[in-house]
Amino acid sequence: MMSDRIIPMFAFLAAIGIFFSYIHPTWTGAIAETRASIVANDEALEAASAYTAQQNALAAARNAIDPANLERLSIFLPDSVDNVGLILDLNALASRSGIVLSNIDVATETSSANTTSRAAAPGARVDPVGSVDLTLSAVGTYSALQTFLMGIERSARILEVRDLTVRGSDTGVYGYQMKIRLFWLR
Amino acid sequence: MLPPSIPTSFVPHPLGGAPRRAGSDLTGVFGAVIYVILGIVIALAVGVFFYGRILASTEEEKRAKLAEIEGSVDSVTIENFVRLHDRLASGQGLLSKHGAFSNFFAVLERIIPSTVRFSTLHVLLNEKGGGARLEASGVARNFNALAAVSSALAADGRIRDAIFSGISVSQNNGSVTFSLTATIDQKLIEFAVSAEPAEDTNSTTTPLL
Repeated sequence: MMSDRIIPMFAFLAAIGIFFSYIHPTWTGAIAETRASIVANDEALEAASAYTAQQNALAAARNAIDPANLERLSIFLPDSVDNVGLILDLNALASRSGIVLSNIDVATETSSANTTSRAAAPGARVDPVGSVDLTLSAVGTYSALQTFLMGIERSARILEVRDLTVRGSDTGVYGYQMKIRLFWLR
Repeated sequence: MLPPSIPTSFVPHPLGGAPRRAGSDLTGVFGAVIYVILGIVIALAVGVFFYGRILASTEEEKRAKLAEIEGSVDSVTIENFVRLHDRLASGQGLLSKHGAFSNFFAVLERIIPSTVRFSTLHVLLNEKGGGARLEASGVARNFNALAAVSSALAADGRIRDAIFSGISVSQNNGSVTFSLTATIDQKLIEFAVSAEPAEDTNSTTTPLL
């Protein structure tokens, strides 16, 4: 007669024990973590799918651009400073324009200021474009200066005359001092 | 006379027999409920076990797929796209602010009369915002010529805030020396995009000859 009551009691205790020792911890522990991981993986897969679609679209857009134009673009904003090569080009331009360059130098204080001001912005993405100023002195006629200026303005590599001083003379040959800013992609 | 084995009257059974049966029934129902609960719990445990296995398998499958996709991502390609984007966006920004002094000189030639000449001329692009600053000094043949320059600058409107200072009239020939400061409008030094491509592709600076 006692066994009729004791066995169900043991069964009840076993049920409680199974529930609290296996079902509940497994459901709220390992299974919940796995489900969260699956959700995260689903999101990552969705993002990966969007990335693949975007990559294909970008590749198609890039392939639609004429390779010659891409080449011009990389000359327009080159990957390196290459100020020595630029000085050679400026010399060639000056000789074609009929202007004589007497002194070319890098305005170091300006370039360092540009760098620090860009680096100082906390949390902001670094400006991908670097710049440095070249100072140069020259002599030549006014028409030669115009030709030189137009050559710089229409240069395949973007150059900007930031500062120009013209000193007159009675001979028709003037003295010039200018600051030219050159840019590159960091 | 009746035999002694035959009861002579009805004797009822004791009342304690009925409650004992009811208690036994309750124990049976209680036991049945307990066994049902135990059965449900065991079924749940088995379900949780297999559900966990299925989830683990699914997770492993998705993880492997993700790793495969991640492995197919080429960082060089991404870098190239980012650089191309930066180049295009930065190039557009630089071109939109690209200054061209040649246009300014062309306008200056047109509006300044030949009776006025500059001895020094300094043009400086503004670092912030558009436009440029003009500082010059020169000599005008007479005061009327200087007044004509002032009027011409005011009429043009693109060389604004022109202030003539240090005005000095020569006692010898009546010429006037002066200094000039002014603000050059951005429109006057804006680079006009030409449809013509650069001629010389070897050199980065191509003059317009």
